[in-house]
This record gives sequence, C-alpha cells and structure tokens, in this order.
Amino acid sequence: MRFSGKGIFALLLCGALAGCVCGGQTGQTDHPGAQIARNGKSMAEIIVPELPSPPVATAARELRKWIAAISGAELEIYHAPTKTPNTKIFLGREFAGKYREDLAAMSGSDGTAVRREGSKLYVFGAQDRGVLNGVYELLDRNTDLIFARPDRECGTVFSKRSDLRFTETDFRVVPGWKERHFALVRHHFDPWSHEWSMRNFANYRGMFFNKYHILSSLSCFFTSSITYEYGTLLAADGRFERHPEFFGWKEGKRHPYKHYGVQVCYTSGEGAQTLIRETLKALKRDMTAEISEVHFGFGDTWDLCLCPECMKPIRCEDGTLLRPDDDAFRSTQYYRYLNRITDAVSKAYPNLKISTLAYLYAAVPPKVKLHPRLTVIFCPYVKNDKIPVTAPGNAVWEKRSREWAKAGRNIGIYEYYGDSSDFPRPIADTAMQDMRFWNSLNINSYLSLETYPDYRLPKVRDDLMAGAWDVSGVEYWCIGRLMWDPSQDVRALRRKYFHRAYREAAPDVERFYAILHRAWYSDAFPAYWNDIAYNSAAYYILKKGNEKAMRAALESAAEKVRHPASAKLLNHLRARFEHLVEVAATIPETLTLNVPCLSDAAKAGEDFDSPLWKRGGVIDGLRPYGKAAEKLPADKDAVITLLHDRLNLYVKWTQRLPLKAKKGWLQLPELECNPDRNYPRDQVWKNGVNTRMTLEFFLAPPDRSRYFQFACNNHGALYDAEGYNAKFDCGFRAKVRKTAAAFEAIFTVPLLELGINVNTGNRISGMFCGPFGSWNGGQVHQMSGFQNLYLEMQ
Amino acid sequence: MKKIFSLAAFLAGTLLSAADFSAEVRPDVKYRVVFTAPAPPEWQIRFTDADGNIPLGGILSSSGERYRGTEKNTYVREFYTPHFAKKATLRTKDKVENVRFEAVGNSKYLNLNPEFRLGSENYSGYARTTQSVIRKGADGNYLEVSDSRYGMTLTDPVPVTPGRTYRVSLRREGPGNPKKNIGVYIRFLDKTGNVLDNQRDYWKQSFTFYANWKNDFPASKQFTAPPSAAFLECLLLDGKFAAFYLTEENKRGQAR
Repeated sequence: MRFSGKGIFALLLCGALAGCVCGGQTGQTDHPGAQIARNGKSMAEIIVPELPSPPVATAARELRKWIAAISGAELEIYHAPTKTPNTKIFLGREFAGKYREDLAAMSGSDGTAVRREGSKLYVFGAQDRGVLNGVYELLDRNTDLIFARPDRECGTVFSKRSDLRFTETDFRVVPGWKERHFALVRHHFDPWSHEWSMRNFANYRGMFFNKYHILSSLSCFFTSSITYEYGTLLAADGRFERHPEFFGWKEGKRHPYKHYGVQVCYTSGEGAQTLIRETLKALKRDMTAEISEVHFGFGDTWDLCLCPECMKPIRCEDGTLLRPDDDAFRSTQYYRYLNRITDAVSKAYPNLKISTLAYLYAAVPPKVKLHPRLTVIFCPYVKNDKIPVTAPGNAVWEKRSREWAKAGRNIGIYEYYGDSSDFPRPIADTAMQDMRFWNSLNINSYLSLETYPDYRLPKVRDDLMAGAWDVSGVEYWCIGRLMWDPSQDVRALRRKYFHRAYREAAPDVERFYAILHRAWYSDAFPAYWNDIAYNSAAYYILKKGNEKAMRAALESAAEKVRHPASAKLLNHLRARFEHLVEVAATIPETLTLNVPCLSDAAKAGEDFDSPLWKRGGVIDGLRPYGKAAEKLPADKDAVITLLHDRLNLYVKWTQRLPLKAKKGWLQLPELECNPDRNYPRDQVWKNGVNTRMTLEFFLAPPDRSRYFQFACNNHGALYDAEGYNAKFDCGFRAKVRKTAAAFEAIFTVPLLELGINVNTGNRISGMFCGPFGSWNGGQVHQMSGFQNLYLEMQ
Repeated sequence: MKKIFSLAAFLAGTLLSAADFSAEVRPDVKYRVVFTAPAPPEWQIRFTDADGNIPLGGILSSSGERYRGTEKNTYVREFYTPHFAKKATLRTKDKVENVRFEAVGNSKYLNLNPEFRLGSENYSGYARTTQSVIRKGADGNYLEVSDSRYGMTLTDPVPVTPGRTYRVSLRREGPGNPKKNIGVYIRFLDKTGNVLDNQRDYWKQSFTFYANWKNDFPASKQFTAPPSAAFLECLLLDGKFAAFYLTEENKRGQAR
C-alpha cells in the first residue's frame, strides 16, 4: 500500500520541470526537490552507517550506479556526512529515528520510506532490505528508468540527463506480500534474472541451488533457506535396510525412497522420531548466519504409502472419523507428521522459519491444527489461469484458500502465472485479482511465481526461456510490481512499462498487446500452466485472424522506435512473434473426425474383437506432444477407434509399447495388466496407484463452456473429472487387456451425463493423450488444442 | 615456503586504552596491524581519504577470536589498504598495548595468508568462512572447507589491474585421495565492490584440483582481469588446503 504525502504535487512538479535546467543553490528548501547532478557533476553524496549491512551497502552501490548511468555524475559513498554543501542522501534506519510513525507502519516488513528535510534525504525501512527497495522506488519515481528484463544488452532503459533532481521524495510503501519470489524453472540459477528480480522488489532466493550459486544469489537476497526432503534424510546411512518400516509400502512390500516414487510412511512414529534426529543433525551441520528458513519437501508425486496403518481412518481432534476417501485424509496424515518435526525443530531453533509446500495431496487444508510455527505455502495447482481464483471455474481453490486462511497465521502462495509465458499470456489481470483476494484473507506472508530465467539458447525453437521474456517481460514486470503493491492497477502498470521500455513506439506495442488481450480474455477456453505456446499462437493469433493486425502494429512500432535499448527489445518481440506464428502455421488445421452412429455399438463396447470396430472413426496415429508435424515411432504409436449410439461414446484405444526399451522406460513385456485389482475410483494418480501407463482423453460439449477428462491405467483404475474437479463422476466404464503387440482399453462414456445431446448438438471436441504422444500434438487440459469430433446422426 | 617478509613503514605505539592509534598508509598495499590485549578485543581499522573522510569500504571491523596471533595475547590482522586510503586508524573498545602497523613487503603472493602461517585462529585474508576451519597439521596449518551444502570460504578481494593475467594454484593437505574434487571459483569486482557484469557466470571461471591428483600436483590456472576490474576474489570449496596461492602471471617464477 502506498502513502505519499506530497506525491501528487511532486508528480505535477516533476512534469513541469522536465527538460528545465534547474539553477540555484543545491539543497535550498525554496527549490523543489533535491539536486543530485548538474551538468553531469555530482551534487550529492550518499551516507551509510559505519557498518552497513549487505542490503544497505548494496543499496548505496545501486543508487550510485544508476545515478551515474543516467547523469554521468559519480556520487561518493561515505560512512559519515562530509562538510561539502551538497545533497546528503542518508541510507538506513540509523539516521531516521525521528520518523517513528513510518518505522512503526513498516514494522515486520521490508517496506520503505523516503523523507526529505531541505538538503537531507532519508531512505530507510524497518528492515535493512527496505533501504534497497527505497532506492528502487526513488529511481522509479524520479527518473524514467525501467528494469524491463534481465537481458544485459537491452534490459534496462532510461534517458540520459546531465541535470538530475529528485522531486518525489516524500512517500512510504508497505508491501502487500512480505516475501516475494520469482522461482526460476527449467534453469534454476541465472544471476541476471536474480538481479532483475531484486531490482523489482523480490526478496526471496528460492531453493534450487548448487553450492557455488549460493554466494552469488546471496548478494541479491541476503538471506537463505535450506531444504530437506523427508525421504532423503531418512535414507541416510542405509537405513532402509535396517528400518524398512519407515518407508512407503506398495504392492506388497516397502520401497526405498525415490523423489518420484512412493513416499515415506507418514504414520510411522519411530520413523518420525528418527527423522527429527536426522533433521537436527543436518541443521547442526548446515546452518549458517544467513539461513533464516528450513523448508521440508516431499516428492513430486501422489504415490503414497498404502500400509494398513496409513489406510486406517483418522480420529480427528473433534472426534470425527476421517476416512481414506476424504480429500483431507492424506493431508491430515501429512501435517500430523510434519507437526511433530516442526515442534522439535522450533524448540531447537526458536528463530528459524519452518515451512512446507501445500502441494498435491498436501494442498487440502487438513483436519488437524497446524503447528503455530509452521509456514504453509499453498499451491493452488492446477487451476484455470484465465479466471481469478474466486470465479466458479476455480471454486475448489477459492474454498481451499479460505480454509487455509483460517488454518494458520503464516500462509503463503506458490503460483504458476509465469509458466507457458513463451506465449504472451496477459496473465497479470488474473494475478492482480488473485493477490487482492488472498490479501483480503490475510494471506500475505509469501508469494512465489514460477518464472523462466532470461537465458537464451542458440536454437530459436529451443529458446523457451529468453523467448518468454521477449514477449512476456511486461507481465513479469507487472506481477513483480503487484507482489510489492497489489493496490496498483495492472492496466496502468502495463502502460507504464510500454512507455518506459518502448518509448516512441509504445502506442503501437500497446496496440499489439491489446489485440492479444482481447483475443485471450474474450474466449472461454481455460488456460493452464502447461499450455503449449505454438498451439496458443495457432488458436489466439492465427485462427482468430489477428496475425496481420498484430504484425502491422509491430512494423509501425519499428518505424518509430529510437532508443537503442528499446529497439533491441522490440526486435526480440518481433522475432519471437514471427517464430510463434511461423511454427503455429505448420500445425495442421484442426482435424475433424467423423464418429459413426451404430445402434448396436454397445456390443463393441463389450468386445475388443468385435467386427463393429472396423466401422468406427479412426485416429490412426498420435504425434509427439507439441509437435504436430512429427510422427511417433511405430512402437510408441496408437490407433484409436470411436463409435457412438447417441447414448454412449465408445472408444477403443490400442496403444503400442516398445518390446525392448531402456531400463526404466515403459515397455510392453514388463507391463502388468491386472483388471481385478479394484482400485478406488479417481485414484489413477493417487495413493500408490500411479503406474505411469495411463490413457486419458478429454471431451468438450458443443458450446465448449467446459470439458471433461477420462482416464484409465493398465490395471483398469479409472479417473474422471470436470476440468480438474475429480468430484465429478459420470459413471463411465473401461476395460483393459494386454495383447502380444499392445495394451488396449475400451471406454464407454455416457454422453448425456456430459450435457451432450446428439439431437441438439453433435459437433463436440476432444483430445487423446497417451504415454508418448497425443492427437495432433495437443496437450492435456489445453482446450485450444482440442480437435473436432462430429458425431454422425445416422 | 619462505617466511613472509615484513618491512617498510614500521610504526609502533604503546599502551593505548580504548583509544585511537593512527598511521599514514599507502593505498592498495598489504599491511598488518599487531597488538597485544589481555582479553579478546573488538576493534576497527578506519581508513580516511585525503580529505579526512571515510568512503564506503573504509572500515574493517574485527573481533579477537578471528585474528588471534601465534603468541599469547597477541592479535594480528593482515589486510589490503583501500584505494583511497591515506591514513589508517586503529580504534578499540578495550585496552590494548604495543600497537604497530607495518607494511607486508615483498610477499611472493598477491593473496593474504596463503599458507595460514598467521595461526590456526587467524583468518586474515579470508573474508567469509562458513563451515570452514583452519587446523594444525603435521606440516603446518591448513584450511578445511566442509563439503556440506553451505561449506565455503571466500578470500578477501585482491587488487588487480585490467588486462593483466593472474594464476591460481594450491596444495592439498594430507596424503591419499579424498572423495571430492577441490573447487575454486573466481570473479572480478569493480572498484566499488560490484561484481562485474561479465563475471556473473561464476561457475564458468573455475579451477578444479581433482581428487585423484597427488596433493602437491603442480596444477594451476590463469585468468585475465577484464576491463574495469579492480579486485579478484576466490571461492574455495570442498577440501583441505595446505596453501592457496594467487600470483600475477609474469611474477610466477618468483612465486614457486
């Protein structure tokens, strides 16, 4: 939240003075603002405390660096003010004791305040990190500098001016989120991306680092966290051999821990005690002065222990019995386990933050009281990114958000807004609404955003990361600003970005993005973290007829752009746009498959070898994900045949698998097929049922307002959902078998349950996704990649 | 190894009680301050410029345990004077005696305390040590850097000149072959202490002393200081260092 005593006045004055040469004595109170440079000469100095902390020293160097870049004036940095009659910029709360109200308002955060008294300018925060934020606020409000992207050549854009005066020097900002983080994915360490995020108010380092990265990233974020994974700690010293009972049970035996394998046994009391000892031992070994947090992580999987104790109903504190089919069953089990560890660690390290990710099964608010020292980072995964968390389509995440807000004091959010940003998804609108909603629930301790680093690879086709910055830098920048201050309006932020980054070309670039914004938000298709950029380009740019107008806007921008950095930014934007549409144009037209109507199709639904299948509509071959123009090798391909009888859709899927493959890969001879296992419904990816061999498909009714997912695995375990809502149950059936050459499944899907009445609408759409590829290269859940199914009437 | 040769500007003072002791100094030169104190003291070395001001980086703060000398109740800190330094002042909280500043002349190596001879409780030359400790070995002191996740040692910044070439080398402590390679990562800083923009790919500028090499294998690697470089600093990882050397390339012959 921003408070600016003289903000509006200062802004007006700043505009009026733009371009003027300011005369008079430096620091005189009858002149507006503080003189920083005149004719490229320094008119100010920076003063830091005698022993400045790393954030304050960094703040001083950053202020000096950017003032020099803008004005040519090199300000000196001292530990005490000199006698020179110039502007004194004091950095640090040591100099700001009289601003008690500001310090109180910023308490517990890295908020910042700037105050001026004559020729003395005070930049301070209740925490030292606030001083660094104050420097960036000061530059933002008093120059046209923008840290548009991390790119070293063109990422920072500003005007050079030899006369520099700071006029907006009276403000305070208290951040909406205490910890703000751009979580780099695909490539976890990139110094320039870290630095860019520091300059845009991020203050959290993240967890994915090798040893030699730590020091480098500490120079941006100053504190650090250490992550331990339960299974890895427990497995130390060959413990599985001696105590297999601490580890997960599945298919008749205990299994050694693997990140993507079955997780540790969360009901083993002795296992928990051992884990506590191992954790304390590891902390004793690993702790440094900079580590302020220990994070407990688990494997990226639903594969959980199935031992009798873990499947036993849980008696809750209020006396109710929580059964294994309850959504909260596994999370309750998990947080009971973690509460014990938190209790022990918090006693040994009273000032250490203890956190975990509320992800997968742990995303469900548990029916157990959280340990008060535990910070839970709620991960609303997977949700529709095109609509806010409060929209009906994301109802489950709104409900869970509200429950988490009541469950603990320290709740944060881990978000995926930055994924799939190699297509310019205008996602900051959704982010703004979500952040305000979560803040309104007092969820404000931590916000993390998955982001690609600005790291360019040699081949354009592989260049997903820098490619994302080429087109989505504006969104990253806006979301960074919103994490700092969610009260800001995203439209105004975008406009500011365009005008600072592209300058003379800003109106055209704004037009380019406005076309896309309309195309994206006017379409009800959901958007998820894993959307494929080329499919999105094919759908939102080509199919909707926006290519020419968007290109024209960029061409017009190229004629107007002047600033060399802006020109480079624009070149990158244009190149990425052309690449997207070029590849999108190679994606075959949306296919239409005619699905014959047979009155006796139900017989085919019961018989793999029914001759009726020869009369079905056939998808003869899948494509690698995201690569519609390529074919799958024959031993990984599939044939899918469809029939319907107005009541049901019948799908026969013949999935070939390699007869010989590398160890660990899916291969037919080793594939079990045991349909009598009777797994609970909707547990295909949960509770140890995940076999990696899953056939799934998606269907959307004619109005495409929603879609449904169907899946079964090699043991015939079933899953159906509306979007990501697994509570949906349409009663579909599937049977499976293994032949000498393939794994096969027949699905019977009741159409009316999906709102598909062939008599009123027979043009539906769908997507089929196997272990190696999909129909026309589409992606799971991505409706823009759905192909057409024409349910014949006769 | 030859004993570090101390000479030049020998400046002595006696019996100072919680006061300042000052000496004229030259910039970018290796000095040491030596004194005695009955209990581990806290002190600052403050460097002023020609105008009597203290620019950023002009205050070194120390505590006794980290810079204990080899003799009883003595304290020693070696350091490079900043580029602006005209005068150095020792400011102590507690009573100290026999203060002297002296230039460390004609050292073979650019880095400070390369063979840890200042004592097993003296971390001069090593700005940041986490899970690292100087120990007494059979043939002298050595630095052990833990291979735990955060174990590391960062050297003090060493003044360099753009365009000149510098060489990193080391001797490993102890016989046999450890499990892990020793890693040395280097980066160059500008005069205000900022990492140079083209020096961010930390891991790309490294010297590895492989575990299967003999402990005195004469391996080394050279690095050229880029434009605007004013300092070089090294990150030392995973192993026991009997010595760590930085030399300027054209002086290498004198160094070994």
